[in-house]
Amino acid sequence: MLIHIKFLFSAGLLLLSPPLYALNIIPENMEVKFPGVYISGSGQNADSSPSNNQVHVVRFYVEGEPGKKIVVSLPTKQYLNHSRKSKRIRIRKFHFGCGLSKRGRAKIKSNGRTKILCIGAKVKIGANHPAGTYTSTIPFEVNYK
Amino acid sequence: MNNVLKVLAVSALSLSSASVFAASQTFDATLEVKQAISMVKTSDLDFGIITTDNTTDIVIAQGDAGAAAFTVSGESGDSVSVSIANTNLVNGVNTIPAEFDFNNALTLTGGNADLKIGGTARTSSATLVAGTYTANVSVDITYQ
Repeated sequence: MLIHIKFLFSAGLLLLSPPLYALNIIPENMEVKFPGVYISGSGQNADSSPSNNQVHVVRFYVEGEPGKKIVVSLPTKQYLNHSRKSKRIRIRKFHFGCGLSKRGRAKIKSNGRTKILCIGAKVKIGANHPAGTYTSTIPFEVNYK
Repeated sequence: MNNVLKVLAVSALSLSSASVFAASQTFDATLEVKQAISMVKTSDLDFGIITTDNTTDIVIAQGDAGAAAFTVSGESGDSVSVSIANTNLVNGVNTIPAEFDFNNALTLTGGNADLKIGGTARTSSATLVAGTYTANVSVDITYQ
């Protein structure tokens, strides 16, 4: 009988919880580029941050329930891979910016859409990284907070 | 036992209901790393020998035997800018102004380009004293 009550209680929670709108990502630019000239063997940092430029960073909106907060999350270890050689450069840091807080959070406005949200990245080109083009496709997720 | 499973299933559904509304996407990240530029000098600029009564400027064209020559290497197909500042050829306290003649933009076809540097030694405006006039001249090359 106790188990039966628990079951009803849980079911009631599920049915009575307020409905949430499904989140929707509206892309504007889904590519991070690193402006500047980077030379192999130089040990340079390449930094594409929304605080410095909003042209070469990822830009998107999120649509969802007005007034709700959302959080953007990215995988921790990501690499850019050389197009022809088995060399890779680790992404040291992702930058959140534009309408995103430094921790990747934002609020959905009354029109059901966030401000424009930006993601950039920082990498360090090691002295042993050969010349060439390094690329990667990086997944990210948006959740209600 | 059957009821226990139902409780667990519904509880799990309740707890994970928020993640049903999550959205996922991907973006691309691209970084281009260029080949470092290197230069190998094959000859220096040589204005030749003149006498102290010389009254005309000494001109060495890029194609002349006295021109300086370098092989520049870097990213294949890229263009580079060349800059060289005017300077003075020095012989103790005596100087001769010198200007340089070169192509200020090169294309690294196949990763290489030849750079020839001629110049003009303004001997007509200098007080010439016998001796050797020299200068160490910097050549700066950067990707465009």
